[in-house]
Amino acid sequence: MNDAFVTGLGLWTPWHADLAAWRTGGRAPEPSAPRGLGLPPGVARRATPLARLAADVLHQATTEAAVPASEVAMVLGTVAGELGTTFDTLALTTAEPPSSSPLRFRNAVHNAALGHLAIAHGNTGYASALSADAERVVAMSLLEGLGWLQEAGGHVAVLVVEEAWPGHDHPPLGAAVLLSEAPASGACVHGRLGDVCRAVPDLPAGAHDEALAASPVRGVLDLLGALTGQAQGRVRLSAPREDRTAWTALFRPASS
Amino acid sequence: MIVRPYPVTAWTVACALGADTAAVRETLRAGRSGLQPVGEARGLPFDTWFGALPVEDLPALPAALAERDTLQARMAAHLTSGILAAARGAVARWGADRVGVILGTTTGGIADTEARYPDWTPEAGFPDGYDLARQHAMQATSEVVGALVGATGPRWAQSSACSSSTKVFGSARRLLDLGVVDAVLVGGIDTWCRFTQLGFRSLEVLSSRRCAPFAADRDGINLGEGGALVLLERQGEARAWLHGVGETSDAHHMTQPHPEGAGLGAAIRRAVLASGISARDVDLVQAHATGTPLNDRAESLAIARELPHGPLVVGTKGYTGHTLGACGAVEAALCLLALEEGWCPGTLTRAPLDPELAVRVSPDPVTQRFRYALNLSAAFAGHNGAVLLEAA
Repeated sequence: MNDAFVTGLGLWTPWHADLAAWRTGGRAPEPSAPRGLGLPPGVARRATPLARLAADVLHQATTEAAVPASEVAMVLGTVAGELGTTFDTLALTTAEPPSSSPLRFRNAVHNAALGHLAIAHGNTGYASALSADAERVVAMSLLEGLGWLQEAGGHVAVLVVEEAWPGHDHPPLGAAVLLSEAPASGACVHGRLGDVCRAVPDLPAGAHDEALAASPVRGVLDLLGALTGQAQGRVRLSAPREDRTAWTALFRPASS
Repeated sequence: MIVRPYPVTAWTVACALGADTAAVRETLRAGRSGLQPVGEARGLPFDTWFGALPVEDLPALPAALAERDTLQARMAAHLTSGILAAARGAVARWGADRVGVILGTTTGGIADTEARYPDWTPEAGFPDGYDLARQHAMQATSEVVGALVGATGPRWAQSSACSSSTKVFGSARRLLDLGVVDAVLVGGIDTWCRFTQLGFRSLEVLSSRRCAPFAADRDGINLGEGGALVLLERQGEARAWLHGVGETSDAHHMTQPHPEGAGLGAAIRRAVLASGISARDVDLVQAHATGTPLNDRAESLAIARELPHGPLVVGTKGYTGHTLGACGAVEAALCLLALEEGWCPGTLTRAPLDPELAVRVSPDPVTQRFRYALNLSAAFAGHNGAVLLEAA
């Protein structure tokens, strides 16, 4: 498996509007909602919270990588996707008389966020929405992104996002990792990432905010912690099993 | 870049045409539709047609998988039984962690979720332990299929609306190209649910008549359920070959295709270029052909532009209904049948065909040795897919 340059990163949580805020180790006193950066205001209003979250992290990663959002392939990985919108729609479809809403129905589709992003940025390239369980979701998203990069080159934005599930406590959380065949001029290079497999991780788990650690996509926190901390080795992308193995990726920092 | 072809070593299908591959073949050969009228009896406040899987009472999952039990999971287990020996053979040959599972779906476990939703509360959740991650989520059924065949490699659900199980072929190619697996079981499965019936009704694209792809008076889709599974291996005895896969976005509209079929045309172009063949070599196109005025017009423009030599174009949703996230796999299976048997069903529709659609559609079956078949899908969010398959 070829590895890829990591040229852009993004993170959003209710208490961290971007990666820089998260890296301070603190948190905003009040939670906020994702803004939908890069989406026209009308689109952002009609888009779901998950789509606005994906837009925010994509914006951060493409800005850092100095690559237009119109020119990146996109992989969207989540465990449960547009669950809030699905539940809102179920309230209509299970009522008497049953009905639905065109806006809710189209926004409940798992790949809706990618549609909003493609339309907003005029991106006619490859985009793919996947769902995997909490153990695999970060690793499978990276595999799909690395696979595309090997097939087509260029840049691929791997967006791993999860919204708060109805009736569950975990907060929304999203991250973006922009992988490049070659860095764009003026881009930041964090290092190289590849060799996604199940193995014993080299790098210790980070100490994460308790609320965020409850997210099904908490693996992105360990990944971003390793990438921003320039720690060389095998990064955990999921909680280890009893045999100490986990889904991992090999990271070689730019400074190595 | 011209891609390396991978052998299709086994496949199976179950849909409104039949409960297994043999029954599907027999019904298709007889020219019969699997669509039936549905309405109030299935809880719908309107009349439409639906392609139901002709299986009464799908059996429960094995005890070890009981916590994942849903209609979709049961359908997946039924479907897996049609390819179990071949898939377990691949696991034995390559090793469990070298076999991946990637399934396309749009419904996931929604049929079960909607049945329980009236009893759901934010505080207590679902009353009978129904679990969103294990049962509702799109990935839940890929876990069931993986467990049934004993595969422990990469595993996920592709959920890009109606192109989901077309795009799984691209994902599988990439995993094989990366060298992280030696075999991938791909496919798609979607089930009946009121959620999609009511949703498409709200978009005014559901027909109250039997759908009629390419017909002059076509007025919308009928839904269907079922799925197909296809085993791709690094090497093995080929029943057919997987070549290039094209995947694009329209960047045009959330639910309507680009009016000129620009994105779908680009997907066709990419699939053909990646396969290293001439567009003229394509002799069969399995069209998405939903039967909506917009889809069939845009798709016909894309096909006519990219494949001007006029290959045979077939639309099969008049037999199966639109199986949504499963349609790419179901229709790939029908392509494989055509490649293996040198026979393609006629497009089940209504006369007259739309004279403005400049593609070669035959209402009658065609007997011909097909070499290259192109399977097309288009989807919400503007996601398009094209898969090129070659006869062995």
